[in-house]
Amino acid sequence: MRDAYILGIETSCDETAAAVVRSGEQVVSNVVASQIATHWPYGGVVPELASREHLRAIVPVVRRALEEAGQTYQSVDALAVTQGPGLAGALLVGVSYAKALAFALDKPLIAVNHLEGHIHAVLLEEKQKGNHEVRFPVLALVVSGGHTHLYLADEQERGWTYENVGQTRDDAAGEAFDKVAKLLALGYPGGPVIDKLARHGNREAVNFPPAHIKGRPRPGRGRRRVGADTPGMTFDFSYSGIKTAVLRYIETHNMHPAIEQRRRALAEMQSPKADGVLKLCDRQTLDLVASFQRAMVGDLVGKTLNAAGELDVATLFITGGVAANSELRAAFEREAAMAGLPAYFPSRPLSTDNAAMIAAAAYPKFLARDFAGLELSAEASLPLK
Amino acid sequence: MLILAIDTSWKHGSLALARGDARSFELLETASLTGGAFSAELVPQIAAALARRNLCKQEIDGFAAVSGPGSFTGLRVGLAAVKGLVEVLGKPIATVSVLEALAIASAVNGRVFAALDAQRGEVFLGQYTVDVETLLARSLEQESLLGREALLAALPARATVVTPDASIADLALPAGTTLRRIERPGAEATARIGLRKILAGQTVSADALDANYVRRSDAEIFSKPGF
Repeated sequence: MRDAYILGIETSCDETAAAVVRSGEQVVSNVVASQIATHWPYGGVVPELASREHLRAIVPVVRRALEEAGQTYQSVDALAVTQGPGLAGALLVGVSYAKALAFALDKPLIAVNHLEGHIHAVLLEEKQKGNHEVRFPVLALVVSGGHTHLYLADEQERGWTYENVGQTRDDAAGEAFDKVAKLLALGYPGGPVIDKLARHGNREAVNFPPAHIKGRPRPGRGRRRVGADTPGMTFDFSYSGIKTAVLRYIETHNMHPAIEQRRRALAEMQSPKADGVLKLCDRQTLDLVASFQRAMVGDLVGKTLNAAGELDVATLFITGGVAANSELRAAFEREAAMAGLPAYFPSRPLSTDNAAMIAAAAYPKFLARDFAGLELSAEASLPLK
Repeated sequence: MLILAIDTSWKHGSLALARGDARSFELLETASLTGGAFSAELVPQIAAALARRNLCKQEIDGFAAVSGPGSFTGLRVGLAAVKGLVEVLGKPIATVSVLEALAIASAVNGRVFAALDAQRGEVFLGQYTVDVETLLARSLEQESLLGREALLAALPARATVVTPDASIADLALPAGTTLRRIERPGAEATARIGLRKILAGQTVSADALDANYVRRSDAEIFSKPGF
């Protein structure tokens, strides 16, 4: 079969992205226009501003992805777009644009679930490296600013199947990083800056107890292979408590004056780098940051490996923006090796939101001729099934 | 010249397919778009309108789109679609402001104040003069968002106000203005104005096409920036 070039478009949150991927296994171009500078003053993504930026950026970003791939609108075989989940207004820009392109070109349009995209980012890169031997079933942890989900993924004859076996009950893990960075005035986004600062602190300084998830497993989730002999078993996450614990620590240790001083210093800098932030942090702050990250990593790794054991999976995927965290990667590599499980991560550019993963996830649907109609719309809470 | 016009700025959207030149205008097709379903309905309705007239999309000579002010998300659905169509079909785009369309539809000679209820006790206001020869409006001042009191302060004595909204009529009438209450213009008016703008060379490229929000985002208005 001849190669198929798919143009992917992704606008689910704060990155306007377009990419061309060949036959689901080679990234030909991958363009991401980040909006960090737009959202930086607010310490988090502002949905309306994100949507406005997408509308301005979508044409130049898609043009660049085509140019860098040596392709044109006319030469690609299909278009793929993120349908959800994500910010409704942001998703709608990509969906409306992609639908109009597909209609004008008379080319097939493929709707892709953003979470499925993150899972396929791992497969795409493994195939690119020549590894076609990923064993199934796979347990995929999709962990980012908007998501903390565990999926059992399997490749069937008629395409991919996904079963959600765990998710956060409140904040996403990446959201906790952002919120703690905001509490401590470390800048935005919180994940990369905390990752860098944590290397300079004592990880054992502050003890954050793990979140205890109360209640029984949600019906129909996490029970397929768990069996009835494990009542109360759940693979859910919870990260709102640790944020409150950090706040309490700040208050009881009188850290506010130092934080306010740093906030003022950062306000005068334009998008400061982590090294600049490091100079504004005292020992106590660095220790708190390192301890917070250790607790987050410990919880994510512990719960995921526990689920992997209970569900008897063959392979682990760790993907999404938080998968770029260096301590998380090291911990997963170490712990998964001890458990005898192969663990795969995307490279850092494909960990965060991008459109190559959308074009890659579209490829099996392209082969199955699973195309979207022109009545396609965005779905902010689209489940992955 | 075959024009496709799109208005997704308000609760109810519409599209129009029209043919015309400097002297003539013929409305070929109109279709309404259900509020909340613009994204799902827009492209299928465009396809259906073309099909009813046995036209193909490559025959469209220009696009006209309402760029605002109005529903932020609605505007983006329409404008993103126009960008996608024009990237492939490569035809000119004319944008039309709802306030500009109101001013033109008012047929007032001289300065006219076009006003729209912007919700939250606020009003979108534009000041235009309409050229009776070209039937195009010239903006006298940048369109703005005003509180109700500020609107009254901005209107000179005996100003002519055009609006589709009862709330603004109730506010402006006791202030001694000359009031023209007309229906909110939709895709047909957008097609008429867009055609004249394209003929006059007042067009925008697909990458530069943007919404005319007039109102800033809530984050910019209410948030205390800080990280």
